[in-house]
Amino acid sequence: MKRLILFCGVLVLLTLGLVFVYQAQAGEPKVLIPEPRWDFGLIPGGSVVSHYYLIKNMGTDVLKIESVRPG
Amino acid sequence: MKKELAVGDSTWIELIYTMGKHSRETHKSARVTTNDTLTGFINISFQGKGWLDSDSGVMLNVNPQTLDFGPLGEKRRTKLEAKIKNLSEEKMQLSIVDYPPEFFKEVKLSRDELKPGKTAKLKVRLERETEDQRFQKSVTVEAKGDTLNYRFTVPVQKGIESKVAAKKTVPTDKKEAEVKSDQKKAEAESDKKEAEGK
Repeated sequence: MKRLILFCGVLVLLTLGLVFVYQAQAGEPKVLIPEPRWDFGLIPGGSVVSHYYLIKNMGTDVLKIESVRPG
Repeated sequence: MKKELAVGDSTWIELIYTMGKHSRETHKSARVTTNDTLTGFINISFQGKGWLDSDSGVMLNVNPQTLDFGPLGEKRRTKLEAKIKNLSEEKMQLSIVDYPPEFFKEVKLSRDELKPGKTAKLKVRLERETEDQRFQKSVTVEAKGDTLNYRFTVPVQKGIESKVAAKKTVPTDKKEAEVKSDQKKAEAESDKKEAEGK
């Protein structure tokens, strides 16, 4: 009986370990732009303004920014 | 802008926009595509409204409307200020809501509360490294009263020749927006919505 319990325990640990390794290997990047919309308010006519958008990787793998194009 | 972000890392995407010489509202957007296949792409967008000196109804006066540090190579100016006058009859709370990260040495308001008829100063001081750079940035300020609520953006620039600047301000109704990074920029937009001579 003890052997059976021990065997089951080892089996569970082994399964959990495999799941952990699989998840680590199958990491996913996750892009987050906390403030994707911006309001400049009033802008002097004929002038140039700029704004910076923060972009974060909240995932578990490297995030690659492939392009930024006019929508 | 970094093209690759490690886990937990972050970067900035800069959007630059040239406002036409008009007082209409503007909405623009750009699409950010990454290898995050679950999210797909993300749209970033902005809005603003042209503000001409002749505009009526705005209970604020900002002078000058653009902080220009002048041409490159000329006598170095490291700080400039714009005066913000409250033309309304109500008290307003002023706050700086946006300016470029790690670009200016100092961006501050001389006072946070602006009583009717009073003036506050928006002060911008350059970092030593940026004194000899050509740049076009901006600072956005919010003014809130009991009933009035304004947000306005003050362009801050250096090394932009007056002829070029004047050319850009010709009311051709040509608008352009571009998204750029430290090394690489992606042109965002150039639309000609209205025919010349309108």
